[in-house]
Amino acid sequence: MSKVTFYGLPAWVGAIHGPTVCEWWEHDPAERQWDRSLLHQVDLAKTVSAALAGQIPVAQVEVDDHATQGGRTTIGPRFPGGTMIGAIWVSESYLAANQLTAPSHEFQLVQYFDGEQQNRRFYGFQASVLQTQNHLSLVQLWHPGTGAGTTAPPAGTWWLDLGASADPNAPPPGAGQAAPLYLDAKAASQLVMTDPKIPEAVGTLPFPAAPPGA
Amino acid sequence: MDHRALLAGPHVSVVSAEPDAVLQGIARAIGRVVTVDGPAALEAALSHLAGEAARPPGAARTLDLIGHTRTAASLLSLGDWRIDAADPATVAAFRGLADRAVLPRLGIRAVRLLGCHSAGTERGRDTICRLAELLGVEVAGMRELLHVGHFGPGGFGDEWSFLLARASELRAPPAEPPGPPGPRVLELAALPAIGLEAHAAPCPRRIASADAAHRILALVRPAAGACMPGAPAPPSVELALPLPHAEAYHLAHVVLDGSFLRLYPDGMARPGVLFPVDDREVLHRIIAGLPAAATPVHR
Repeated sequence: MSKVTFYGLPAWVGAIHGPTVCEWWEHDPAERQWDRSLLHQVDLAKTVSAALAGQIPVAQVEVDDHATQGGRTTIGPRFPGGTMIGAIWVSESYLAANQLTAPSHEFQLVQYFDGEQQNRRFYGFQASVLQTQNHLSLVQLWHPGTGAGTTAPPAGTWWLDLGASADPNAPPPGAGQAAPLYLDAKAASQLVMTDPKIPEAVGTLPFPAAPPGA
Repeated sequence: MDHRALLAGPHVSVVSAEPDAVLQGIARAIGRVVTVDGPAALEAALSHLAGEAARPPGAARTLDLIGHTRTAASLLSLGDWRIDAADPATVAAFRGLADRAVLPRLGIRAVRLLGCHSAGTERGRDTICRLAELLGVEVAGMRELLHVGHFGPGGFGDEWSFLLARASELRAPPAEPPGPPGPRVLELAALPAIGLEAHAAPCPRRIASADAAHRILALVRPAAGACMPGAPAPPSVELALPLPHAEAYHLAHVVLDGSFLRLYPDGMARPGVLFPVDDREVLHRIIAGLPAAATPVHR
């Protein structure tokens, strides 16, 4: 089973080397003396959809697809002309190789590539399970980025079948618990939710209606 | 840009001039916008528009200022200008518009600060109220995050107006502290009254007596209502629950083998709200004793 966790980070593009290859800072460069030694190189073509299409091995995936392709990355997707400040959702191997700090579960997504889950992806939410009834759970969800550690109200409350729509490898919270919940893309797209604001000072997008490869 | 086209609809949309894909996407969705990067550009654009305006009597427009919110106070930005009522330059800019009666000449009755959570902080709400006092019109901000889906040809969609917090509301003393969007509470009086002949049931219909309706509703957890996303679960039985003094009924659908009753507090055309049933065996026994409706069933 191939599974990759992606982490959403803010990105300021600092150098462009080709249509899809660039270098980026994870902090506002104006606050870091424009230190070029802090840049990270990435190829925005090494995406989930490229792996699903067999163009690259899963191990080489660096980023989630661009938002226009059903992903959550908003820099690029191609230069010149691509967006220079936005979100980059990097794979766990890229995160480790570049010694980046993993953000919280609200800025994570899990993508499966094969096995029982096939091409399924799950978005991280802050959730509170209020009660259950048979196989359904009454769940409060926060817009990603507004739940953990804030006083923001939840985005809404829904009856959800967590057995069918939560990541089977990340058990959902039990009744009366507030905890991370990884909800699959199909279920998440049916809720009135928005992507997290990355960086904090830029806009947001509605949840992708169809993830890469769907 | 033909400035007269900006006045063709009910919204005058002003977008922050900055190289940002989200704002450019919003501008494309609207179709006719003016971009500004600060108070001088806003004043110039509006004054120019006011010079060309041929306002038909009764026309009422909104001035929609669209940009990102910045700083922890969620203040709307147009270019490098943060619209902050605590900033004397911001106050001077809007006072200038008021002094020259620019907004009345454009038929503008409300100003909307359309940026994520622009009404989400105390400072943001204070700015909304101060601008309303300065301009003498309603001013509103966003309670929620904002994205391109909230816009269409002509401007911010009217269907999203529930996301706005208005100065007139913010200044009024709140009757109750706003609560989180938690579970829906069952309020019988809020359910629509339906004439059975006017509604085709999607499944077999049973008509409850007043006593049976009382016993059915007693099985429901009334403070645990919520929608279930996705395609609605098909009902097995439609229950017609009689109103006390009218030839009309509240309709409820039995779904998921009696584990839930689906009721329609927002109207039959809107998604129903599921309330859990504590004892579905008892529910099934009550339903089994109800007479079937004689009205035709739509399958």
